Amino acid sequence: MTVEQLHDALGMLPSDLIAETDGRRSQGAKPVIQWRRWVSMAACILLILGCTVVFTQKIAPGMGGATESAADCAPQEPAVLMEESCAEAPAAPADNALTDNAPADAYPEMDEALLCDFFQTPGDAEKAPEFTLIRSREELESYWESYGEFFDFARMRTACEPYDKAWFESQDMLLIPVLPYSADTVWEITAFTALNENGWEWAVAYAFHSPSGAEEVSFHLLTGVAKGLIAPEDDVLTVADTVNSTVDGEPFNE
Amino acid sequence: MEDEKIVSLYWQRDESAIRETEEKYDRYLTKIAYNILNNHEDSRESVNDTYLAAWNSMPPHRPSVLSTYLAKITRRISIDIFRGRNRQKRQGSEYALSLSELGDCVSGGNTTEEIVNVKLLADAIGIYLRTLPEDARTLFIGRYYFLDSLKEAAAYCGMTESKAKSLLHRTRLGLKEYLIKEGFDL
Repeated sequence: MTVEQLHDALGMLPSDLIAETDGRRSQGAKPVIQWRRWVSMAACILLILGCTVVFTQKIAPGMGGATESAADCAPQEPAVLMEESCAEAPAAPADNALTDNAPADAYPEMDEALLCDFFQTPGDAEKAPEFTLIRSREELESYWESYGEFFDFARMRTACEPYDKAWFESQDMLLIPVLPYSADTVWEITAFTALNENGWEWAVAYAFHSPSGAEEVSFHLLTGVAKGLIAPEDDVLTVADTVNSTVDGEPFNE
Repeated sequence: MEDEKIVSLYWQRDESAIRETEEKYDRYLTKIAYNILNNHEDSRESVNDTYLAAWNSMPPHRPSVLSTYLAKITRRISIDIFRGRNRQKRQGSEYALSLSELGDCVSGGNTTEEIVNVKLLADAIGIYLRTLPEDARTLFIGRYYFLDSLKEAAAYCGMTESKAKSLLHRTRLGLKEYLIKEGFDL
């Protein structure tokens, strides 16, 4: 058999297969997404998001050791970029869905500056990309339009008003939907390291409280990164095991 | 104009059928031809021959999806033109690149002694492709049927070029294994 014969055979493929592909071609370029398989809390695979050394130094002392090692592992250049961007980043919007909904005593004490913004977005977290890099207010609006049938973004839309055109001039936004957890779960960013020359390894830790009867609901996390730091066409964003999470106040490791 | 109406014009032997086809599909067909021939003049010739072939084949054919029907014709004509070219003129086209990539799947044996039932081979490939996830299938057909560049195919499949390259490689190897299992002599 020759490749020419193989090509001739391809020319005789069923029309429905050709039409399916042609339909995708006519839709044009799609945003590049990195799909990863989520593993439930019980399977212990968590997202790891990076933050700057400045952020990690402010984390509660008990969690400092592992984040320092994560920051130490990061190549100097990206760590410097992140320090600069975080120093310049505006404070997170005061309106935080977490504090709006949670019982008053449900969360460990934590510096608010460490918290990434996160919002309850009831829906199906598996319907959205694992990571989405948002580079403008228009792209954020487009994300809501694209996935509006799978999530209730009402709360997030209201809370994201401060993330306007001016905010996006110096930052890009990393948006991460997370599987349903108890509504009293607290999220924070612990480390941000370079995976390799064209990728980033993100780490996020969380403080999870055993099911308290609160309704499980999907969330969207967001954090700002230095403008242009992540090249969506080339960089690979990966999931890595996280450390320094807690469950009911106790350290949790896989 | 809707495909059904255009096909009806062919059946009525109304020459406006060709004009309507050209208006709706000329750019689409030219892209397919250019992917193979990498030459504007030859692509124009291929597309014009497509219109003639469409006129001569409808009736008796009455395709439900005219774009797919015409694409098959253009692809076949363009590949025939390519094969008639000299070596120098073959360079630079996506078809030429795809030949080297698909070399993963076959041995390139002596075809004067091998008889390959192309239709059976096409059926087997179709069955294999249906076992794949939609992204992998779309990427394979986009790259090796429509002969879109790796960059274009990766873009409409929503993945990076490196991921697309890796996925295509695995798909080609999987196809080879499948064809061997089905008894094809590669």
